[in-house]
Amino acid sequence: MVGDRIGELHDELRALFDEARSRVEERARNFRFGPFVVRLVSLGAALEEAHFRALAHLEAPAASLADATIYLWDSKSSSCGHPTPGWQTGDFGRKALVPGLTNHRFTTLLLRTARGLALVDHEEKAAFVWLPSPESIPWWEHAAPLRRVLDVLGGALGTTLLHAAALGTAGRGALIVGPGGSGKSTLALESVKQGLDFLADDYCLLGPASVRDCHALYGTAKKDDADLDRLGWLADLPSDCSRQGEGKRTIFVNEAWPNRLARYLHIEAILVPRFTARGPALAPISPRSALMRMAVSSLVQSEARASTTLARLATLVKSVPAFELATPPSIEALPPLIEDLLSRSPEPARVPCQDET
Amino acid sequence: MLVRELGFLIDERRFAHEAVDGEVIIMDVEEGTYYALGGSAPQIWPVLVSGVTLQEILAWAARRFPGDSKEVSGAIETFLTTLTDEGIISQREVDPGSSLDIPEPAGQPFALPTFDKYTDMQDILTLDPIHDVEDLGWPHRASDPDADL
Repeated sequence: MVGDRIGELHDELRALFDEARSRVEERARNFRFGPFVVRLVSLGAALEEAHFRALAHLEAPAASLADATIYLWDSKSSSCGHPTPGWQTGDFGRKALVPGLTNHRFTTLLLRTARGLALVDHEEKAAFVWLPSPESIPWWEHAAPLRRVLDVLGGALGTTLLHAAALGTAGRGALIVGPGGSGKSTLALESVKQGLDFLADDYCLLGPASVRDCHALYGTAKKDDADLDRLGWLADLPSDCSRQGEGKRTIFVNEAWPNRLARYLHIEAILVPRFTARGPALAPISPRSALMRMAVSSLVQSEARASTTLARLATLVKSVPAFELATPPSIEALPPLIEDLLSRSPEPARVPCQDET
Repeated sequence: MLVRELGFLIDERRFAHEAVDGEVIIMDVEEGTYYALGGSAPQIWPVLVSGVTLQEILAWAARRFPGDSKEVSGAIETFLTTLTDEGIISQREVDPGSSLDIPEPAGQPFALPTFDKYTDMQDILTLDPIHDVEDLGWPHRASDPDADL
Protein backbone atom coordinates (compact mmCIF):
# COMPACT_ATOMS: atom_id res chain seq x y z
CA MET A 1 0.00 0.00 0.00
CA VAL A 2 1.32 3.42 -0.95
CA GLY A 3 0.01 4.96 2.28
CA ASP A 4 1.87 2.37 4.35
CA ARG A 5 5.13 3.04 2.50
CA ILE A 6 4.84 6.78 3.01
CA GLY A 7 3.89 6.31 6.64
CA GLU A 8 6.93 4.08 7.14
CA LEU A 9 9.17 6.69 5.49
CA HIS A 10 7.73 9.37 7.76
CA ASP A 11 8.37 7.25 10.85
CA GLU A 12 11.90 6.44 9.70
CA LEU A 13 12.77 10.08 9.03
CA ARG A 14 11.39 11.17 12.39
CA ALA A 15 13.41 8.43 14.14
CA LEU A 16 16.58 9.34 12.25
CA PHE A 17 16.14 13.01 13.10
CA ASP A 18 15.63 12.19 16.79
CA GLU A 19 18.73 9.99 16.75
CA ALA A 20 20.75 12.74 15.08
CA ARG A 21 19.43 15.30 17.54
CA SER A 22 20.83 13.24 20.40
CA ARG A 23 24.30 13.54 18.85
CA VAL A 24 24.47 17.00 17.30
CA GLU A 25 23.63 20.40 18.71
CA GLU A 26 20.19 21.61 17.68
CA ARG A 27 19.92 25.12 16.30
CA ALA A 28 16.48 26.63 15.82
CA ARG A 29 15.62 29.91 14.12
CA ASN A 30 12.35 31.43 13.01
CA PHE A 31 11.90 33.12 9.65
CA ARG A 32 8.97 35.20 8.45
CA PHE A 33 7.74 34.58 4.90
CA GLY A 34 4.94 37.08 4.44
CA PRO A 35 2.15 36.27 6.88
CA PHE A 36 3.76 33.01 7.99
CA VAL A 37 6.54 32.10 10.38
CA VAL A 38 8.56 28.99 9.57
CA ARG A 39 10.79 27.46 12.22
CA LEU A 40 14.00 25.92 10.88
CA VAL A 41 15.48 23.33 13.22
CA SER A 42 18.90 22.36 11.90
CA LEU A 43 21.42 20.03 13.46
CA GLY A 44 24.99 21.31 13.46
CA ALA A 45 26.65 24.58 12.63
CA ALA A 46 27.56 23.74 9.03
CA LEU A 47 24.00 23.06 7.94
CA GLU A 48 22.68 26.12 9.72
CA GLU A 49 25.31 28.29 8.07
CA ALA A 50 24.52 26.90 4.63
CA HIS A 51 20.88 27.85 4.97
CA PHE A 52 20.90 30.92 7.19
CA ARG A 53 22.86 33.51 5.25
CA ALA A 54 20.40 33.90 2.37
CA LEU A 55 17.49 34.10 4.81
CA ALA A 56 19.07 36.23 7.57
CA HIS A 57 17.03 39.33 6.73
CA LEU A 58 13.81 37.41 7.36
CA GLU A 59 14.72 36.11 10.82
CA ALA A 60 11.84 36.48 13.25
CA PRO A 61 11.94 36.57 17.06
CA ALA A 62 12.59 33.19 18.67
CA ALA A 63 9.36 33.52 20.63
CA SER A 64 7.25 33.81 17.47
CA LEU A 65 4.61 31.15 17.09
CA ALA A 66 5.57 29.05 14.07
CA ASP A 67 3.03 28.15 11.38
CA ALA A 68 5.30 25.40 10.03
CA THR A 69 8.52 23.64 11.00
CA ILE A 70 11.39 22.28 8.92
CA TYR A 71 13.66 19.65 10.48
CA LEU A 72 17.03 19.53 8.76
CA TRP A 73 19.95 17.19 9.33
CA ASP A 74 22.73 15.32 7.56
CA SER A 75 24.38 11.94 7.97
CA LYS A 76 27.99 13.14 7.95
CA SER A 77 27.61 15.57 10.85
CA SER A 78 25.45 13.25 12.91
CA SER A 79 27.03 9.89 12.02
CA CYS A 80 23.50 8.61 11.46
CA GLY A 81 22.57 6.34 8.62
CA HIS A 82 20.86 7.21 5.36
CA PRO A 83 17.10 6.92 5.10
CA THR A 84 15.91 3.85 3.21
CA PRO A 85 12.80 4.99 1.35
CA GLY A 86 12.43 1.68 -0.45
CA TRP A 87 11.59 3.46 -3.62
CA GLN A 88 11.57 1.85 -7.02
CA THR A 89 12.11 3.17 -10.50
CA GLY A 90 8.39 3.53 -11.09
CA ASP A 91 8.02 5.81 -8.07
CA PHE A 92 9.85 8.70 -9.73
CA GLY A 93 8.63 11.40 -12.06
CA ARG A 94 10.55 13.84 -14.20
CA LYS A 95 10.75 16.42 -11.44
CA ALA A 96 11.72 16.44 -7.78
CA LEU A 97 8.34 15.26 -6.55
CA VAL A 98 8.22 11.48 -6.16
CA PRO A 99 4.70 10.51 -7.24
CA GLY A 100 4.99 6.99 -5.88
CA LEU A 101 5.64 8.31 -2.39
CA THR A 102 3.18 11.20 -2.40
CA ASN A 103 -0.44 11.26 -1.29
CA HIS A 104 -2.99 13.76 -0.01
CA ARG A 105 -1.05 14.28 3.22
CA PHE A 106 2.63 13.79 2.33
CA THR A 107 4.80 15.04 -0.52
CA THR A 108 8.14 13.32 -1.02
CA LEU A 109 10.85 15.27 -2.83
CA LEU A 110 14.02 13.79 -4.29
CA LEU A 111 16.65 16.52 -3.90
CA ARG A 112 18.66 15.34 -6.87
CA THR A 113 21.55 17.76 -6.87
CA ALA A 114 22.09 17.58 -3.11
CA ARG A 115 21.47 13.81 -3.18
CA GLY A 116 18.99 14.18 -0.34
CA LEU A 117 15.29 13.84 0.25
CA ALA A 118 12.50 15.77 1.90
CA LEU A 119 9.11 14.71 3.16
CA VAL A 120 6.52 17.47 3.58
CA ASP A 121 3.59 16.76 5.89
CA HIS A 122 0.72 19.00 4.74
CA GLU A 123 -1.41 18.09 7.74
CA GLU A 124 1.17 18.84 10.40
CA LYS A 125 2.72 21.70 8.37
CA ALA A 126 6.15 20.16 8.83
CA ALA A 127 8.99 18.93 6.65
CA PHE A 128 11.85 16.51 7.27
CA VAL A 129 14.86 17.28 5.11
CA TRP A 130 17.77 14.87 5.04
CA LEU A 131 21.11 15.43 3.29
CA PRO A 132 24.20 13.22 3.10
CA SER A 133 26.45 16.09 4.23
CA PRO A 134 26.54 19.90 4.34
CA GLU A 135 28.96 19.80 1.40
CA SER A 136 26.42 18.02 -0.78
CA ILE A 137 24.47 21.27 -1.18
CA PRO A 138 25.40 22.76 -4.56
CA TRP A 139 26.53 26.39 -4.68
CA TRP A 140 23.35 27.73 -6.27
CA GLU A 141 21.23 26.33 -3.47
CA HIS A 142 23.14 28.57 -1.06
CA ALA A 143 21.44 31.37 -2.97
CA ALA A 144 17.99 29.79 -2.62
CA PRO A 145 18.11 27.28 0.24
CA LEU A 146 15.19 24.92 0.80
CA ARG A 147 13.44 26.31 -2.27
CA ARG A 148 11.56 23.14 -3.13
CA VAL A 149 10.54 22.50 0.45
CA LEU A 150 9.31 26.07 0.90
CA ASP A 151 7.48 25.79 -2.42
CA VAL A 152 5.52 22.72 -1.30
CA LEU A 153 5.13 23.81 2.32
CA GLY A 154 4.03 27.25 1.13
CA GLY A 155 1.43 25.61 -1.07
CA ALA A 156 -0.03 24.02 2.06
CA LEU A 157 -0.15 27.48 3.64
CA GLY A 158 -1.69 29.15 0.59
CA THR A 159 1.33 30.93 -0.90
CA THR A 160 2.62 30.55 -4.47
CA LEU A 161 6.29 30.46 -5.42
CA LEU A 162 7.02 32.73 -8.37
CA HIS A 163 10.17 32.67 -10.49
CA ALA A 164 10.73 36.41 -10.82
CA ALA A 165 12.81 39.31 -9.60
CA ALA A 166 10.91 41.94 -7.64
CA LEU A 167 11.90 45.58 -7.19
CA GLY A 168 10.03 48.52 -5.80
CA THR A 169 9.75 51.86 -4.17
CA ALA A 170 7.47 53.10 -1.39
CA GLY A 171 5.80 49.71 -1.11
CA ARG A 172 4.92 49.49 -4.81
CA GLY A 173 6.55 46.70 -6.75
CA ALA A 174 7.38 45.51 -10.24
CA LEU A 175 7.99 41.89 -11.13
CA ILE A 176 10.77 41.18 -13.62
CA VAL A 177 9.92 37.87 -15.25
CA GLY A 178 11.69 35.51 -17.61
CA PRO A 179 13.86 32.42 -17.50
CA GLY A 180 17.44 32.25 -16.24
CA GLY A 181 19.69 34.36 -18.45
CA SER A 182 17.02 36.92 -19.26
CA GLY A 183 18.70 39.67 -17.26
CA LYS A 184 16.68 39.59 -14.04
CA SER A 185 19.68 39.50 -11.70
CA THR A 186 21.66 42.19 -13.46
CA LEU A 187 18.69 44.51 -13.54
CA ALA A 188 17.88 43.79 -9.89
CA LEU A 189 21.42 44.56 -8.77
CA GLU A 190 21.68 47.70 -10.89
CA SER A 191 18.33 48.88 -9.54
CA VAL A 192 19.20 48.40 -5.91
CA LYS A 193 22.54 50.14 -6.53
CA GLN A 194 20.58 53.12 -7.82
CA GLY A 195 18.28 53.19 -4.79
CA LEU A 196 15.27 51.01 -5.58
CA ASP A 197 14.16 48.49 -2.98
CA PHE A 198 15.14 44.85 -3.54
CA LEU A 199 12.74 42.04 -2.75
CA ALA A 200 13.94 39.21 -5.00
CA ASP A 201 16.45 38.31 -7.65
CA ASP A 202 14.95 34.99 -8.66
CA TYR A 203 12.17 33.76 -6.38
CA CYS A 204 9.41 35.41 -4.38
CA LEU A 205 6.14 34.36 -2.78
CA LEU A 206 2.68 35.52 -3.73
CA GLY A 207 0.55 35.84 -0.64
CA PRO A 208 -2.51 33.78 0.19
CA ALA A 209 -4.86 36.76 0.48
CA SER A 210 -4.03 38.40 -2.86
CA VAL A 211 -1.77 37.52 -5.76
CA ARG A 212 -0.64 41.15 -5.75
CA ASP A 213 0.92 40.66 -2.32
CA CYS A 214 4.57 39.84 -3.00
CA HIS A 215 6.71 38.58 -0.13
CA ALA A 216 10.47 38.12 0.12
CA LEU A 217 12.25 34.79 0.23
CA TYR A 218 15.98 35.18 -0.37
CA GLY A 219 18.30 38.15 0.03
CA THR A 220 20.66 36.92 -2.68
CA ALA A 221 21.48 37.24 -6.37
CA LYS A 222 23.34 34.78 -8.59
CA LYS A 223 25.88 36.09 -11.09
CA ASP A 224 28.44 34.69 -13.49
CA ASP A 225 31.95 35.91 -12.82
CA ALA A 226 32.07 36.89 -16.49
CA ASP A 227 29.70 39.72 -15.64
CA LEU A 228 32.34 41.21 -13.38
CA ASP A 229 34.25 42.40 -16.43
CA ARG A 230 31.22 44.39 -17.50
CA LEU A 231 29.95 45.35 -14.04
CA GLY A 232 33.16 45.76 -12.04
CA TRP A 233 31.36 47.07 -8.96
CA LEU A 234 29.91 43.60 -8.38
CA ALA A 235 33.33 42.41 -7.24
CA ASP A 236 33.11 44.50 -4.08
CA LEU A 237 29.82 43.01 -2.92
CA PRO A 238 29.60 40.29 -0.23
CA SER A 239 29.60 36.99 -2.04
CA ASP A 240 30.20 33.30 -1.68
CA CYS A 241 33.85 33.54 -2.74
CA SER A 242 34.49 29.84 -2.26
CA ARG A 243 32.49 29.21 -5.43
CA GLN A 244 34.47 31.56 -7.62
CA GLY A 245 36.42 28.68 -9.09
CA GLU A 246 33.21 27.54 -10.75
CA GLY A 247 32.83 30.89 -12.47
CA LYS A 248 29.69 31.77 -10.57
CA ARG A 249 28.92 33.41 -7.28
CA THR A 250 26.11 34.12 -4.90
CA ILE A 251 25.93 37.79 -3.97
CA PHE A 252 24.36 38.54 -0.60
CA VAL A 253 22.20 41.56 -1.27
CA ASN A 254 20.88 41.44 2.28
CA GLU A 255 24.39 42.15 3.55
CA ALA A 256 25.34 44.66 0.85
CA TRP A 257 22.21 46.83 1.12
CA PRO A 258 20.39 45.95 4.35
CA ASN A 259 18.47 49.23 4.23
CA ARG A 260 17.13 48.63 0.73
CA LEU A 261 15.52 45.30 1.35
CA ALA A 262 11.78 45.08 0.97
CA ARG A 263 10.03 42.17 2.62
CA TYR A 264 6.71 43.11 1.07
CA LEU A 265 5.68 44.88 -2.15
CA HIS A 266 2.27 45.45 -3.66
CA ILE A 267 2.63 44.44 -7.29
CA GLU A 268 1.80 47.27 -9.70
CA ALA A 269 3.44 46.06 -12.91
CA ILE A 270 4.94 43.05 -14.66
CA LEU A 271 8.01 43.65 -16.81
CA VAL A 272 9.40 41.26 -19.40
CA PRO A 273 12.96 42.22 -20.42
CA ARG A 274 13.92 41.92 -24.08
CA PHE A 275 17.47 42.64 -25.17
CA THR A 276 17.68 45.24 -27.93
CA ALA A 277 20.26 47.55 -29.40
CA ARG A 278 18.10 50.53 -28.53
CA GLY A 279 16.05 51.51 -25.56
CA PRO A 280 15.21 51.60 -22.78
CA ALA A 281 11.49 51.65 -23.43
CA LEU A 282 8.28 50.19 -22.09
CA ALA A 283 5.63 48.77 -24.41
CA PRO A 284 2.36 47.33 -23.07
CA ILE A 285 1.79 43.63 -23.70
CA SER A 286 -1.35 41.52 -23.30
CA PRO A 287 -2.15 39.42 -20.23
CA ARG A 288 -1.73 36.39 -22.48
CA SER A 289 1.83 37.35 -23.40
CA ALA A 290 2.68 38.14 -19.80
CA LEU A 291 1.32 34.81 -18.62
CA MET A 292 3.25 32.89 -21.23
CA ARG A 293 6.52 34.56 -20.29
CA MET A 294 5.94 34.34 -16.56
CA ALA A 295 4.25 31.02 -15.98
CA VAL A 296 6.44 28.52 -17.79
CA SER A 297 9.60 28.97 -15.76
CA SER A 298 7.64 29.14 -12.50
CA LEU A 299 5.66 25.99 -13.25
CA VAL A 300 8.62 23.96 -14.45
CA GLN A 301 10.53 24.78 -11.28
CA SER A 302 7.63 24.25 -8.92
CA GLU A 303 6.38 21.06 -7.30
CA ALA A 304 3.17 22.68 -6.08
CA ARG A 305 -0.17 21.92 -7.70
CA ALA A 306 0.24 23.30 -11.24
CA SER A 307 -3.42 24.12 -11.83
CA THR A 308 -3.55 26.26 -8.68
CA THR A 309 -0.33 28.06 -9.58
CA LEU A 310 -1.42 28.78 -13.15
CA ALA A 311 -4.85 30.00 -12.01
CA ARG A 312 -3.23 32.40 -9.54
CA LEU A 313 -0.77 33.69 -12.14
CA ALA A 314 -3.65 34.18 -14.60
CA THR A 315 -5.44 36.25 -11.96
CA LEU A 316 -2.28 38.30 -11.51
CA VAL A 317 -1.80 39.09 -15.21
CA LYS A 318 -5.46 40.07 -15.51
CA SER A 319 -5.19 42.53 -12.62
CA VAL A 320 -1.80 44.15 -13.23
CA PRO A 321 -0.50 45.88 -16.37
CA ALA A 322 2.36 44.15 -18.15
CA PHE A 323 5.08 45.66 -20.31
CA GLU A 324 7.92 44.51 -22.49
CA LEU A 325 11.03 46.24 -21.23
CA ALA A 326 13.36 46.98 -24.14
CA THR A 327 16.75 46.45 -22.52
CA PRO A 328 19.83 47.98 -24.14
CA PRO A 329 23.37 46.72 -23.49
CA SER A 330 23.87 49.53 -21.00
CA ILE A 331 21.19 49.24 -18.35
CA GLU A 332 21.84 52.32 -16.20
CA ALA A 333 18.71 54.04 -17.53
CA LEU A 334 16.35 51.20 -16.64
CA PRO A 335 15.91 51.76 -12.87
CA PRO A 336 14.67 55.37 -13.31
CA LEU A 337 12.21 54.09 -15.88
CA ILE A 338 10.89 51.49 -13.42
CA GLU A 339 10.72 54.05 -10.63
CA ASP A 340 8.80 56.45 -12.85
CA LEU A 341 6.37 53.68 -13.84
CA LEU A 342 5.72 52.77 -10.21
CA SER A 343 5.28 56.39 -9.16
CA ARG A 344 2.60 56.84 -11.84
CA SER A 345 0.59 53.88 -10.58
CA PRO A 346 -3.01 55.04 -10.11
CA GLU A 347 -3.55 53.10 -6.92
CA PRO A 348 -2.10 53.98 -3.53
CA ALA A 349 0.25 51.29 -2.34
CA ARG A 350 -1.48 48.78 -0.08
CA VAL A 351 -0.30 49.03 3.48
CA PRO A 352 0.63 45.55 4.62
CA CYS A 353 -0.36 44.19 7.98
CA GLN A 354 2.12 44.66 10.78
CA ASP A 355 3.24 41.06 10.62
CA GLU A 356 3.89 41.24 6.88
CA THR A 357 6.50 44.00 7.05
CA MET B 1 -7.68 6.74 -34.32
CA LEU B 2 -10.12 8.24 -31.85
CA VAL B 3 -12.96 6.14 -30.48
CA ARG B 4 -16.29 7.94 -30.47
CA GLU B 5 -17.65 6.05 -27.47
CA LEU B 6 -14.80 7.22 -25.24
CA GLY B 7 -14.19 10.52 -23.52
CA PHE B 8 -10.92 12.31 -22.72
CA LEU B 9 -8.61 12.61 -19.74
CA ILE B 10 -6.13 15.44 -19.25
CA ASP B 11 -2.81 14.63 -17.62
CA GLU B 12 -3.31 17.18 -14.84
CA ARG B 13 0.00 16.33 -13.20
CA ARG B 14 1.89 17.37 -16.30
CA PHE B 15 -0.37 19.94 -17.98
CA ALA B 16 -1.99 23.03 -16.45
CA HIS B 17 -4.51 25.04 -18.44
CA GLU B 18 -6.18 28.42 -18.16
CA ALA B 19 -8.37 30.67 -20.32
CA VAL B 20 -6.85 34.09 -20.96
CA ASP B 21 -7.64 36.73 -23.59
CA GLY B 22 -10.03 34.45 -25.46
CA GLU B 23 -7.51 31.62 -25.75
CA VAL B 24 -6.72 28.55 -23.74
CA ILE B 25 -3.12 28.46 -22.55
CA ILE B 26 -1.72 25.02 -21.72
CA MET B 27 1.60 24.60 -19.93
CA ASP B 28 3.67 21.43 -19.85
CA VAL B 29 5.18 21.76 -16.39
CA GLU B 30 7.74 19.04 -17.03
CA GLU B 31 9.11 20.02 -20.42
CA GLY B 32 8.60 23.79 -20.44
CA THR B 33 6.59 23.53 -23.65
CA TYR B 34 3.48 25.66 -23.83
CA TYR B 35 0.51 25.87 -26.14
CA ALA B 36 -2.09 28.44 -27.18
CA LEU B 37 -5.46 27.20 -28.42
CA GLY B 38 -7.47 29.64 -30.54
CA GLY B 39 -10.24 29.76 -33.12
CA SER B 40 -13.11 27.64 -31.82
CA ALA B 41 -10.80 25.68 -29.51
CA PRO B 42 -11.56 27.81 -26.40
CA GLN B 43 -15.25 26.95 -26.90
CA ILE B 44 -14.52 23.27 -27.43
CA TRP B 45 -12.14 23.03 -24.46
CA PRO B 46 -14.70 23.19 -21.59
CA VAL B 47 -16.78 20.56 -23.39
CA LEU B 48 -13.71 18.39 -23.82
CA VAL B 49 -12.86 18.53 -20.11
CA SER B 50 -16.45 17.99 -18.96
CA GLY B 51 -16.14 14.22 -19.09
CA VAL B 52 -18.39 13.34 -22.04
CA THR B 53 -17.71 11.09 -25.03
CA LEU B 54 -16.33 12.19 -28.38
CA GLN B 55 -19.72 11.39 -29.89
CA GLU B 56 -21.38 13.84 -27.50
CA ILE B 57 -18.74 16.48 -28.20
CA LEU B 58 -19.46 16.21 -31.93
CA ALA B 59 -23.22 16.34 -31.34
CA TRP B 60 -22.73 19.47 -29.22
CA ALA B 61 -20.61 21.03 -31.97
CA ALA B 62 -23.27 20.29 -34.60
CA ARG B 63 -25.80 22.23 -32.51
CA ARG B 64 -23.40 25.01 -31.64
CA PHE B 65 -21.93 25.62 -35.08
CA PRO B 66 -24.52 25.51 -37.86
CA GLY B 67 -23.29 24.67 -41.33
CA ASP B 68 -21.43 21.73 -42.78
CA SER B 69 -21.45 19.28 -39.87
CA LYS B 70 -18.93 16.99 -41.59
CA GLU B 71 -16.47 19.83 -41.88
CA VAL B 72 -16.98 20.73 -38.21
CA SER B 73 -16.64 17.12 -37.06
CA GLY B 74 -13.55 16.56 -39.18
CA ALA B 75 -11.85 19.69 -37.88
CA ILE B 76 -12.62 18.82 -34.27
CA GLU B 77 -11.39 15.25 -34.63
CA THR B 78 -8.17 16.51 -36.20
CA PHE B 79 -7.76 18.97 -33.34
CA LEU B 80 -8.37 16.31 -30.69
CA THR B 81 -5.96 13.95 -32.45
CA THR B 82 -3.29 16.65 -32.26
CA LEU B 83 -3.87 17.09 -28.53
CA THR B 84 -3.70 13.32 -28.10
CA ASP B 85 -0.47 13.06 -30.09
CA GLU B 86 1.06 15.75 -27.88
CA GLY B 87 0.16 13.69 -24.81
CA ILE B 88 -2.05 16.44 -23.40
CA ILE B 89 -5.15 14.26 -23.45
CA SER B 90 -5.85 10.57 -23.72
CA GLN B 91 -9.04 8.65 -24.32
CA ARG B 92 -10.80 6.96 -21.42
CA GLU B 93 -14.10 5.47 -20.39
CA VAL B 94 -16.45 8.13 -19.11
CA ASP B 95 -18.72 7.86 -16.11
CA PRO B 96 -22.21 6.79 -17.15
CA GLY B 97 -23.64 9.74 -15.24
CA SER B 98 -21.59 12.33 -17.13
CA SER B 99 -23.67 14.87 -18.98
CA LEU B 100 -22.98 18.00 -20.90
CA ASP B 101 -23.64 21.14 -18.87
CA ILE B 102 -22.28 23.81 -21.19
CA PRO B 103 -24.38 26.77 -22.40
CA GLU B 104 -25.12 26.49 -26.10
CA PRO B 105 -25.79 29.85 -27.74
CA ALA B 106 -26.26 28.48 -31.24
CA GLY B 107 -25.64 30.23 -34.51
CA GLN B 108 -22.00 31.18 -34.16
CA PRO B 109 -19.94 30.61 -37.29
CA PHE B 110 -17.37 27.86 -36.97
CA ALA B 111 -13.74 28.86 -36.88
CA LEU B 112 -11.13 26.16 -37.28
CA PRO B 113 -9.59 25.32 -33.90
CA THR B 114 -5.98 26.45 -33.85
CA PHE B 115 -3.10 24.90 -31.97
CA ASP B 116 0.18 26.75 -31.52
CA LYS B 117 3.08 25.04 -29.81
CA TYR B 118 5.98 26.99 -28.28
CA THR B 119 9.28 25.36 -27.36
CA ASP B 120 11.41 28.49 -27.03
CA MET B 121 11.62 28.23 -23.24
CA GLN B 122 12.90 24.66 -23.15
CA ASP B 123 16.55 25.35 -23.90
CA ILE B 124 16.65 28.46 -21.77
CA LEU B 125 15.17 26.65 -18.83
CA THR B 126 17.60 23.78 -19.01
CA LEU B 127 20.49 26.26 -19.08
CA ASP B 128 19.42 27.73 -15.76
CA PRO B 129 21.76 26.26 -13.13
CA ILE B 130 18.95 26.08 -10.59
CA HIS B 131 17.16 23.67 -12.90
CA ASP B 132 18.38 20.19 -12.17
CA VAL B 133 16.90 18.05 -14.94
CA GLU B 134 20.30 17.05 -16.29
CA ASP B 135 21.65 15.85 -12.98
CA LEU B 136 21.72 12.12 -12.33
CA GLY B 137 21.79 12.72 -8.62
CA TRP B 138 20.40 10.27 -6.13
CA PRO B 139 19.26 7.67 -6.87
CA HIS B 140 21.17 6.60 -9.95
CA ARG B 141 19.49 5.78 -13.21
CA ALA B 142 18.34 2.22 -13.55
CA SER B 143 20.89 1.75 -16.36
CA ASP B 144 23.71 2.63 -13.99
CA PRO B 145 25.54 -0.59 -13.00
CA ASP B 146 25.87 0.86 -9.49
CA ALA B 147 22.21 1.63 -9.29
CA ASP B 148 21.08 1.63 -5.70
CA LEU B 149 17.36 1.70 -6.26
